[in-house]
Amino acid sequence: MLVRLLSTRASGWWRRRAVRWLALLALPVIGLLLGLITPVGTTELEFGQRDRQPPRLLAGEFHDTHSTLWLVPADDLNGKRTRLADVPHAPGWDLEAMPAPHAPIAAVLSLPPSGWEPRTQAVLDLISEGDIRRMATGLDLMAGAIWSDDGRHLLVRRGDSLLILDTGTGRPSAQWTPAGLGSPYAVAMRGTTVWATTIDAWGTSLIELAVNEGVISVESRTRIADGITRDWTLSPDANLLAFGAQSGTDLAVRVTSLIDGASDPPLLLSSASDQAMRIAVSDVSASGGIPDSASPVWRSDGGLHFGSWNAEAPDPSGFTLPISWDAGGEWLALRSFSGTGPGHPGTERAAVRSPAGEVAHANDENLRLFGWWSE
Amino acid sequence: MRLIGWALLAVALVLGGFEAGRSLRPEQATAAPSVCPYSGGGPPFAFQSFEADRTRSLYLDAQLLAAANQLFPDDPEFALPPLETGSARIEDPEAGIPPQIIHAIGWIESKINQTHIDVPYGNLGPTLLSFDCGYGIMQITSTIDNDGGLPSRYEALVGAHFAYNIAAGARLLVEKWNEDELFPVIGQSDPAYVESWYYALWAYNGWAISNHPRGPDVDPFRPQPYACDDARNGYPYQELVLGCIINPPEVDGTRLWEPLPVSLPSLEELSTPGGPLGLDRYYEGLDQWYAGLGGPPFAAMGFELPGGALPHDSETGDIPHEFDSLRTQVLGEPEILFETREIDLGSTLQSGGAVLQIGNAGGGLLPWRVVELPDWITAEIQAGSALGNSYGFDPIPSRLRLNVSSEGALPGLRHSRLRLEFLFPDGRIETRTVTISLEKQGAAFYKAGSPQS
Repeated sequence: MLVRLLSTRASGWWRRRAVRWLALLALPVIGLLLGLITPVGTTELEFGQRDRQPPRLLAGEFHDTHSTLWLVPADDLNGKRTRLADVPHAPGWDLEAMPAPHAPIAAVLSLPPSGWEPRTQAVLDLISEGDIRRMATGLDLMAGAIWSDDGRHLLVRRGDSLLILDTGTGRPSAQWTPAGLGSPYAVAMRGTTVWATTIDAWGTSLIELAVNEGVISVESRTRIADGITRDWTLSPDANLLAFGAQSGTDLAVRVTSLIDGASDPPLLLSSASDQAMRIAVSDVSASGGIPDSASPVWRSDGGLHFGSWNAEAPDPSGFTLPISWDAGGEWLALRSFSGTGPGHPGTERAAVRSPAGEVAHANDENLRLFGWWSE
Repeated sequence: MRLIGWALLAVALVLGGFEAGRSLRPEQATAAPSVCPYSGGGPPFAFQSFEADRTRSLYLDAQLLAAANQLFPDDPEFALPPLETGSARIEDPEAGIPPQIIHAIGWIESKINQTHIDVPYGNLGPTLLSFDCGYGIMQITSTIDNDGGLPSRYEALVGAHFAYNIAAGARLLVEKWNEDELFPVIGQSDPAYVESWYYALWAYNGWAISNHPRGPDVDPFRPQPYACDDARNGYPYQELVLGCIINPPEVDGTRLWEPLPVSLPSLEELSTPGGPLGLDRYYEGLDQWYAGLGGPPFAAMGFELPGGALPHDSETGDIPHEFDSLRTQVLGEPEILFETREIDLGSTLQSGGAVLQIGNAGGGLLPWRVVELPDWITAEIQAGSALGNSYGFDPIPSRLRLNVSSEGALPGLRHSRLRLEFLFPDGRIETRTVTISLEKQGAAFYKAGSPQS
């Protein structure tokens, strides 16, 4: 009948009618296809006016079978919050969340309610206000997720492989499996360069990877420590890598130059005091790092902040570990401990240091800060 | 005006399709595994089991018995092997496991649940099955051979009866304890000290770097001890178990067991380079293990009991000495209730196949398994349990659905038999045979045969 209507034998009136109805029927189909392929949220860099309100933090409130993601104002941790999402998960396993660098989206890893193995069964969702989009399954919860600097990719671990997920399509754009022992840990992705580490019996290696149209090539491999390291963080100019080095129970922040002859030694700020110290990279690396310190974080001006403690002369107020600076470099998210160091951390609570240097704590011990929310 | 109307309609249709497209994106929910790559390579078994009441008291009693080797002491597949104790590692048939260890393992593995989370308390339903094909309360994985065939007696009991599942887990733990040719030992290998079980617990979950207390995947700032209702992220497995022994979980405001003080090993003292819990010792042991060199590869990881450790007497506190009466309460005295009948399969096939109803006229659970199945018949489950008048619940029969397999049957009249094996806690086995006939183009019928035990 349709053919007959469209055939040259059909009257013009019928033909116009048929075409009109066909066009109407095609419209929702087009819409359906667009809905399937259009990514959620945005992966573009967003530049807007400076928000004069205090920035907000992405925070999680843990419960046994679900956790709630909140947006919490930096100047009022215990005040009014905005609920972002409730995420059901396997009993006892908390989320691992990472806010995107330039968009109001969070990458959230969780072990689904029916799951039991956090290393092989975690799922990854992109969560923004009013939307949750499943990105991947079968991931390692404990490895977390790292955003690329432009927000177009996420680095996650599946088994012994590092996956580079395209946040637009939801598909892996590349995958890397290190040869030999040691699972990869994602560090950073800037442009088409990925940094990752591997840990084995001989220590930690930093791997620099080039990603070109889905093909990964190893550009360099550098041994950065003889033992276990963690909390790797790349400086804003990508010339320096700071990390926590472990030897027995000792922890120390170390800084390694990624470029021969790197100039401009970092400005180091200790959480124990705000006195700025300038220490040459070579001095820090050669000395084995800054003892009794951990959790280094870079500020946008190139300064390095870290947590420290003195187990022999403990501070009655405990100690803090930085999580990250806000984009303006004024507010600092913290893990705050009542104890004396890694062996005896005491009670942990979320905290924030204001531009004025005042530290405010969350009353809720179940609250955990993941980072700064991009507005 | 007409044009505007058509334009608005067009926009509405596009938007409607757009939203429909977004909602159609499939939820990649976690599904049951289709294969078990680490235990047999085939699909997992389909087991049915019973979920007791919310208080877990029945399971806790079974764990008490299992820890003292009083659950199935005469069953070679489920009895505890003698623990090797003392510096000379001599078998001691009287030694047992501190029951709080079994309680805590069960909580960490499954919140002490035997069936899938959707099964209501006091009902029968699918046995809890994890992603890596771990079954039931104790998440038994390594001793199950998922090869695509029918389950063995051992496999059926582990999957279909909570008590056997618990006994299997306790047995596995003791096997790890006894494996001193591989795993390090603590102190004088006295199992009465909970602290002595540190490495056996580590091995129960897997002797992996992820469980090393100073490994890259643990949080060096994790609070100690683990509070049992806190998030598990950042803790090695053995610390989760020990934390729940120290801080037992609560259900409806009631603590499941009495807390037991446990001294955790001092990481400051033991994890220095060259120390027993130093990472270098672990890696050296791995090298020695992979190279097949002689001697216990991880012997250098052994250490003395932590200061403050106290021995636990498995017969102290509120643990009863009357094991026999407790065993009877836990296991009951099941009786087969399986009637001979004839079913016209013609109509039942169209409605999903024939259903055999397997009842228990006695008490406790009556586990059963399929031991013979024609290749042109599928069984929805391969083993299950029928609940008798026990545990505060009315009897619930087990239902076994049969259907023609997807490959179908050859034309003509076929006669085959299905055999069921009933497994009693005293070790008895009885079988029942069902003759199944199918006329390809006619009604299929079957009849239950006479007992052949």
